[in-house]
Order: sequence, then structure tokens, then C-alpha cells
Amino acid sequence: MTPFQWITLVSLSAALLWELIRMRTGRGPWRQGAVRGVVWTMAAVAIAKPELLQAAARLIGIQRGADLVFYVTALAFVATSFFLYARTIRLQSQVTELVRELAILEAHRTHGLDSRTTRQR
Amino acid sequence: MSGKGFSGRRSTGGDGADVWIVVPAYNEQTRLSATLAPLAAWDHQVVVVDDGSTDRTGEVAAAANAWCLRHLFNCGQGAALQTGIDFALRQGAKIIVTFDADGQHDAQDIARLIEPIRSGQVDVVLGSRFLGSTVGLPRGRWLILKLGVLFTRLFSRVRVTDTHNGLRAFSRSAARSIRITIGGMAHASEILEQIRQHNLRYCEVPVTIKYFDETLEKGQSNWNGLRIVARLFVGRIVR
Repeated sequence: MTPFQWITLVSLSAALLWELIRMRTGRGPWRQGAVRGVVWTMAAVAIAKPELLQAAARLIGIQRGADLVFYVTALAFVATSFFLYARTIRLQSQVTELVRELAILEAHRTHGLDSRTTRQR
Repeated sequence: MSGKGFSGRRSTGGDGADVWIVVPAYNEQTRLSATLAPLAAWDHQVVVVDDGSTDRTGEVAAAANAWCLRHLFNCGQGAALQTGIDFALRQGAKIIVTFDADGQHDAQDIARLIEPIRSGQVDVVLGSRFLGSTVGLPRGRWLILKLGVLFTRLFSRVRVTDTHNGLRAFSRSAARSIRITIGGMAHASEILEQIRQHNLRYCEVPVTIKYFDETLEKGQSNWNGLRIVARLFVGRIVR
């Protein structure tokens, strides 16, 4: 094995171990931990056994394993970007709701209105 | 509830206090008092929602004796409208009118807007500058607005002659049904879409819109139309 393989495999093993510990101790969402664990495992296999990656690429009609990694990364980037954008929009909506409610509550306080009415809709 | 507002004013029929004018305002200190002054002639309640202005908009609104609500930071006109609508509903509003802060609208049109709701004919009344008149409307903006109408007819499937016109009136029940979730300018299309979704009865009435150089500079750019379309599409995917 090359020094690069040693370094990355040790790092990925540590990341995988960390995920397993987190999942076992119930820290963080279980599903996200599992997904990350699968990604670390696949990366470790691809680095330790490049011929497996090459075979997988050929199996789906791509010549090189490196191209397969590139395509998967590009797709993952698009999916992640959309996920983060959607999450930002939702977060923005929640913050806006909060700001709006504060504005109404503050108006009731300033004008001496009954704040119990602020929940009626 | 302590009435807020102006004395010795004209009436549009019924109890004027049950009509609430919601004025979303962002950095409008120079134009707001001129916008609010004609509204003071009527016996309606006026609520200004200061959408996180960095100038003296809030002070101007307070000086005009209007209800003043303040967003901690700029959330967009749609959010400001929803805040004003919520506040008005909680104060017992029966009719809610939305009115832009930049002086483009004519306060005289409010009576025409309210009448179909008072008589129970419709739930929502939309102002239309193309049924009424415009002053100083640039050709580029005219084209964008017409494309907006076409888009609205296809996208929201609501037959209107004008879209993105901030002068509208809602009955209490309509205001409770409609929930503006888009903070930015795309809220106008969202309102039309919800009118269709909730099967609300609506009509258009002619109104006058006046364009000034400074409002055109501050208002929506023509390219913003594309952003509105994009935001509406995203809004359909991200709920």
C-alpha cells in the first residue's frame, strides 16, 4: 500500500469508528450517521482496492474508476446544494414567522393591548 | 380596543373602524407621510408595518398617528403584509386593504375596493391599473406587467387583467384563508394562487397607479420578474 492509502484509510477508519460510537451512544440522528458511515466505507474500499472501483465503473459503461468518482461527486454536489437551499428557505420562513410574531407582540405591548388576542386567528 | 387614528374623517359606509389599511413600508421616510395623509381623511384604521427600515420610517408612521409594527430586520413585502393582516385580524378587522407605502396608489380608490365586499358580492377585490389608469408607466414596465399577467393566467390559473398590484381588499374570512409564505415580491402571485385554491370569489376594480422616477428606481427591476418566477417554482418544490 502507498503512504496515501495508509493515511486516508486510517483517517476513514477513524471517521467510521466515530460514527459507530455516536450511533451507539445515541448522539445525533441515527439515519444520518448510517449514511455517513456507508460513504466512509465506500471511500475506504475504493482507495484500498482501486480495481474494485474500476470494475464497478466498467459495469455501468464508464471507462475509468476516476470518472465514476467524478460523476458521483458532481451528482452529490447538485443534490446537496438543492437540499441546503431548501433547508435555507425553510429556515428563512421560520425566522420570518418569528420576526412577524415579535412585531405583533411588541405592538400590543406598546399600545397596551391585550396580548391574549395575539394568538387568535 | 383603543382606536388609533384620525378624527373628523370621511366614511366609506358601515363602521369605518372595521376597515384596516395595511401599509408595508421599507425605507420610506421621504414618501410615507404623503402616502398616509390622504388615508387620514377616511375613518379607517391604518397599520404601517415597518419592514426593518434603516431610516425614520417608523417615526414617520407614528407621527401620522397610525398603528406601527416593526420587523426587527427586512423580511420582504410579503412578510410585512402578512404581519399587518394578522394584526388587523386580531383587532377584529372585517375588511383589510393593502396599500403601498410609496405613494403610487390613490386613497380615493379604497371606497371602490371595499364596496363589493361590503355588499357581499365577493371575498377579494383586486385593483387593476389596466382597467383603470396609469401615470408615467414606462414601456418596459408595461411589457413586464403584461407578461406577468400572462404568466399568472397560465401558472395560477386566475383570470386577471393586472398582477403585482399592491392595492387589494380582503374580507375577514378571505384574509384568514390566505397565508402569505413568500416574503419577497412573489407574494402577489402567491395570493392569486391561494384565491384559486380556496375558491374565493374575487373581482377586479379599476384603480390609478402613479409612477415617479424615485419609486421606479426603488421598486422592482424588470429582471426581478424572472426572480419572482424562479421563486414561485422553488416554492412549489420546497414547502
